[in-house]
Amino acid sequence: MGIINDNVNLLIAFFIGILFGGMLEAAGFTNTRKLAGVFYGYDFTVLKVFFTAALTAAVGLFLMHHYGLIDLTQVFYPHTYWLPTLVGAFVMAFGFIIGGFCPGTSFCGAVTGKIDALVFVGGVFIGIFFYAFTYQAVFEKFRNSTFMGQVNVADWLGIREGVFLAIMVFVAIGSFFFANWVQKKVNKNKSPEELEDLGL
Amino acid sequence: MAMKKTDLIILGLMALGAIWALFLPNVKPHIRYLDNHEILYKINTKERYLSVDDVAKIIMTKNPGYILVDVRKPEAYKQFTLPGSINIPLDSLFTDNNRKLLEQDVYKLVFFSNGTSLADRAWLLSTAAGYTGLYVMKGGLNAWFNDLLMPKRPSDIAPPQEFDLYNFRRGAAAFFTGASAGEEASPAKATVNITVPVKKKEVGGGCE
Repeated sequence: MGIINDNVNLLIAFFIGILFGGMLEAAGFTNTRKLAGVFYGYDFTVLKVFFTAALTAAVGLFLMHHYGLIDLTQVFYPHTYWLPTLVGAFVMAFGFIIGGFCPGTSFCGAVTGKIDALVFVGGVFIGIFFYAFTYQAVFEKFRNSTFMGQVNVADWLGIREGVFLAIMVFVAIGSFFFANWVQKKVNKNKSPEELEDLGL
Repeated sequence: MAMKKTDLIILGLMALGAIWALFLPNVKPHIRYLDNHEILYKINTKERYLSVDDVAKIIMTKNPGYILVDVRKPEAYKQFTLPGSINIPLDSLFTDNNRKLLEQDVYKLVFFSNGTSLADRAWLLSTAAGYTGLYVMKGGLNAWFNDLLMPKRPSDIAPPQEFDLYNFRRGAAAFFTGASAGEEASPAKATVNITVPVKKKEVGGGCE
């Protein structure tokens, strides 16, 4: 449908995927210790990179829309089912803490030959098949519950979208300084060898 | 520590963008009239058509994603319409109140009339005006009566899909008219049994 057909879409996705994987590797995201660091307070790279990426994209898209470079009304965004999303987020977070990878970084790690990443990817597939085969029996009803339609947080709060975006950006900037402060505190008593070991 | 400088530059740019965004209006569901080429393209794609079976499924499963819109005159709407449908006569398609319905993007609208053409006109006008998520029930209420509520039994050698459709329509007819489907559905069931051995023979032949 639309200007770009599905096959071209896949091709574009392929190249964006290559770039994405390369960036993850460059940012050190195939290293579980770096990824898990955000939960222990010694490394906040994950928080900074993803927060920066998301907000740069948001600000960029918003500005581009207003100057006619992209039509945001044509951009797909999913419907919200808040309870399944919340549960999914918890599952994701625990997987992140325990395994040290999120789905995307696990594939990057697997490609660089990390055994833990390969095991993680195996687990991902088992999970996918388990979900797919038990979907109707177990998950379907829950997955479709608490439907909210396409929710826009700014709409919901009754403020302008630009204002919401600005608030998010300044919250992010604040959180970066806070994260730096925490990181410095946590790593204060670590020896240079320990820091080296954490990939810092 | 060398990171610190680039960090600050990036954060500064983000803050700048955010302040810029602060003064811009919302991303409204902006409606744009299509040009002739776009309209022609849309007319030639048949994606807008839903069969009476599709619409029956939407009603029977209480699918919350669709709103059925009867575009005929109110008198006709009062006499008979589809369950759960609303009435927007073609000439009041773009009144302020009805415009809201076209502008929202949560529900899909399914236009229907007696035949296809009146509903198609409503679809064309609103599509040309830039609205999306619009469908037309193909064949209209005539097809609803002739195909769905009074389905013709397929011949015995018809493929099983036709029997599935037939059985679905029998069930739908029972659902919408309140007639019992039980008795008359059984001969159809028997014919399904007849088609099975035929299929088996074909498979057997294919294997050899």
